[in-house]
Amino acid sequence: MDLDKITVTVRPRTAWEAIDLGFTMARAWFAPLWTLWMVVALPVYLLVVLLLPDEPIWVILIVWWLKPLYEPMLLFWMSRALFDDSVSTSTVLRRGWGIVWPQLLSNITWRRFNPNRSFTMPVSVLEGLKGKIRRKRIAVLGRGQQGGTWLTIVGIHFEVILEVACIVLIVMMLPEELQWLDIDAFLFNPGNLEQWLQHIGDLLAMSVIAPFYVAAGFALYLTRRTELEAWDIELNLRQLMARRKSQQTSMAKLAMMALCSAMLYSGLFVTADLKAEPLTQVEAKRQVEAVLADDLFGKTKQVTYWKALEQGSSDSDSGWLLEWILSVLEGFTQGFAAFGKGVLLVLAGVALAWLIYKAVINHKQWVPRASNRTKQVARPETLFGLALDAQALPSDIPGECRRSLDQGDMRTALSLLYRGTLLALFEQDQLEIPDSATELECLDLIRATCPGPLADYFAGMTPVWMRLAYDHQRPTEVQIRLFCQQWEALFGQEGGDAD
Amino acid sequence: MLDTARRYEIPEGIELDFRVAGPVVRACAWAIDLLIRAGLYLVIAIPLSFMGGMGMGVTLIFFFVIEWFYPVLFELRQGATPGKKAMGLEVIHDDGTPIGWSASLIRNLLRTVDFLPFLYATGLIAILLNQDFKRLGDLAAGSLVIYRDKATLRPGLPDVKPLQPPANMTSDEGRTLLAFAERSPRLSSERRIELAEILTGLTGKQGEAAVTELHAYANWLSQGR
Amino acid sequence: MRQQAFEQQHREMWQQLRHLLDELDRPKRKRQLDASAIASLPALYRALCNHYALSRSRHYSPELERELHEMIVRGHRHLYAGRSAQLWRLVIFISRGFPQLFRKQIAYFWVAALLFLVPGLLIGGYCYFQSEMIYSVMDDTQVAQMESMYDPANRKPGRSIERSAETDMMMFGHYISNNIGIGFRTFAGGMLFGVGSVLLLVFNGVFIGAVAGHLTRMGYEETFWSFVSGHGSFELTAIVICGASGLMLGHALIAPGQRTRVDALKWRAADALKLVMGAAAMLLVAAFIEAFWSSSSVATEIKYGVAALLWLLVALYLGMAGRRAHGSG
Repeated sequence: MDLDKITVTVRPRTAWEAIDLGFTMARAWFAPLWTLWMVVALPVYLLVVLLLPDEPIWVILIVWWLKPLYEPMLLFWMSRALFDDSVSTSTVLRRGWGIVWPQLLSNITWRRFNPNRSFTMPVSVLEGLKGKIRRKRIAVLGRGQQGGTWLTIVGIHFEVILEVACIVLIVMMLPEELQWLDIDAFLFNPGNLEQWLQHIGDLLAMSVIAPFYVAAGFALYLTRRTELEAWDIELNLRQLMARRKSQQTSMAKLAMMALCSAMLYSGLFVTADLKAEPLTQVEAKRQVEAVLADDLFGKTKQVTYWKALEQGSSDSDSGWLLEWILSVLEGFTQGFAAFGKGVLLVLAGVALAWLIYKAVINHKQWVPRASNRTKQVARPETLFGLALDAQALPSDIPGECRRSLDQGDMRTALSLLYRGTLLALFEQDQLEIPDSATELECLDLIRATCPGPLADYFAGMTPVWMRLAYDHQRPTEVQIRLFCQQWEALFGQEGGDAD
Repeated sequence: MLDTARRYEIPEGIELDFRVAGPVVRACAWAIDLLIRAGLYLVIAIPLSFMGGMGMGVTLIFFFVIEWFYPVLFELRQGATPGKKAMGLEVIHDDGTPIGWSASLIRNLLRTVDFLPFLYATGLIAILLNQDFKRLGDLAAGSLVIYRDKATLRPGLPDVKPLQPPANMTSDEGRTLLAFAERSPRLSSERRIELAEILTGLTGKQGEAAVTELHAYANWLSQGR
Repeated sequence: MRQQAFEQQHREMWQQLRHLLDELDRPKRKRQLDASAIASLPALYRALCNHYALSRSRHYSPELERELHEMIVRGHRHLYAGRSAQLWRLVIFISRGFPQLFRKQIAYFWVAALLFLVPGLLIGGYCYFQSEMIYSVMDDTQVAQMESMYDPANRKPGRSIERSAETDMMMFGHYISNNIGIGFRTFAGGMLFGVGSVLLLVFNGVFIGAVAGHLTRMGYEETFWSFVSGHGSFELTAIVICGASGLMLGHALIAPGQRTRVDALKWRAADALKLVMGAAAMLLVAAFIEAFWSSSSVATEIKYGVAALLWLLVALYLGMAGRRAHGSG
């Protein structure tokens, strides 16, 4: 029994709602429950008929009286189905005597007229209580409870209503001329024929109501336990503990598995897998459905939408003419489809040709465009007001720089170094800098994209240059000469050779 | 999950649970209504019977009105006939709004069919088959019979010093603890202990102390430290 | 946010809403509310919905959730309550809506009319030429009673000897409960895939036809026809309309088209119900005419004249009322 798999929402309810829940359960599980009832009740009926062939009234009375004989099995089945553990009918039947036998005698004698029968049945059948303990338990559970009694009263009425409705239907369906039956005779002065016919109605009505009755009693019992004993909370708490335990045990299991696989080349688990019985199709389907039904897997959602109805296929006996017309039509549609396909192909060809034509016309614009060029295009001509092209700069930057320094033009000297470094960075690292960038943005970009000695050099120079350019704070001459030396160290002495 | 609550999303974007009412409680409500109607018939017929043919005519008209429109009148006025009200039921549209006159008329005029062939046998079969317990009239009218929510006094949590629950408790499990704390005044003390001791492996407590421990967790969940 | 803080923060608002709902639940004249309080309902209600959604998503305690849920349902009920039936809408419906709807769904009417008239005329004609025919429709006591009702010697035509002493008022009540009941049943029979309505229409046609044929053969035509022709205009038309609305239900169930059966049923039932209500009003008029006019001892010629007028009235009402000067109405 897996507590996680409970199939019914258990929560505190009123007695009436509990009965409704029972009806919902019975509806969901009607087919197996009805079969279980019939499988037991029908043989009993036939047996009694054999014993008392001339006493139809007694026959149905005995079958009715023996209801407690059939009901425990429904209850047993439901108690398993509650945890999604659907037992097959044959299994229940095999265990049948063990379920029905305990307390059968009292069930079909003095307890037969207990209006609370459905409600107390779980105590004896499921809890297996007897005698004094049972009485005490029922007294506790049933205190202030009338749901079961009302269920019985209304249930009897439902049964009678269905039964009479059945008879009325039978009478209505028979042509009046036959004069076999009429309603008066049925209800007030039944002959033999009427009585035997009535049995059909009786059996049907009893079998239909029985699952609902037993399920409602069971639901009443569950609800009462929920109210008195917080049964739903118990379930949840146990689930909580089970989850904890499974977490712990699954950890332990994992460790064990790692050990085993190391020692046995995981042979143990492979054989275990091989040993697993192949699933039958039905079993597999059931498991797949169980997995799909799990909330973890996702919800199923019913969506109603409009869909065009398919035209029904033509009848086989519609005659040659119709078939001929249809074949012509089909040929026509096929022809039409082929035509459409051709048109589409032609269109596609034209589109392709047009694209190629366009490509040829504009080939100058796009064929030679190489990646190198794009980079150069992205390079700004000026940055922060400084002209940045190779022509504006001398080929020997450090030499020119020192010359300016000698003349005392510190600004030109530093500007030359700064611009030269930027240009070098552009050439060397394919740097892309928007022409709106400020000095500091430039520095950030360079640091981010091409870290290296050149970037460090640039980083050292930028603040000096900014102070000079904007603040007119002159750096020392030594500092600039140091920059010149670094430049030569970075770019080699080619500038010096040209000097 | 089998449940009698039906969930409907309302325009405010939240989902309301309506607990649909089944055949047994509705049969009881109908029986009460039947008694009330019978009483009404008597009250009307006895005095009017002294007024000769005229009185008879008026009586017949009253009978007609009661026969066909008794449920409609009450459903429009208060959402339920007196019998349904006594059983704590009410009738609504199946989108959750209160019943309107059109749906009410349809569901009550179609009683005639549900009545066939004998005392609502058709209606009973329909109710047993339909997952929302709708008889034919309800199907055609798009109506639903539900339990009316009752305002209940909410029990407070037991007054215990809050204590942080053990780690990795899921929110559903937290809710279980809250439910335990809220409902424990209604449980016997033995049962409380029994329930709380299920978690002994977690709390390490036994007896009344285990109960207090769980209450402390619940308090922590509800108010923090 | 913890539950307790959440509750403290909103408790006051909830109490305000609860008070408002309590007042709204009371009968109108006992309410002590001003317009502004009522106007605050939607805002309070929506805020509450918000709180409810929060309390659910934050897994607050089940009891808190229940408390809020209960209030939301009550608020929902008040906020989305349908407008109560107004007398004026009834007047509009009778004067325009019903005839318009009738014309919209006239196909059903013609089918129902055929179902009613064809068997009626056939059996009527048969009964007129064959004296025994009537006994295969009803048994001999019924025949005798019916004959006595329209016996020209009868003081009050249309009523059996035992009932001739009854007052018109008594008969009015009788006709109301009887005839409108028949109308409603004919409608409800549509739920049995239309079979019920068809059977009731055919049965009524056969029965009325047989009576008419038989009495005409007996030579009671003056009492019979002068009695039935007046209220027949309203009564027979209304019964056929009830049958037509039953057929609408049946149609929805048999051929729901692109909808599900239940949806088709709901969709058609709305129109069908209106037709039945209109027909019930017509039956009420018919009962009035039948009780107070048809049975009176006015000269036969006048009765026929009035009957012709009444038929014309019904035809004009159903055919013309609610049509605009231009357009289909």
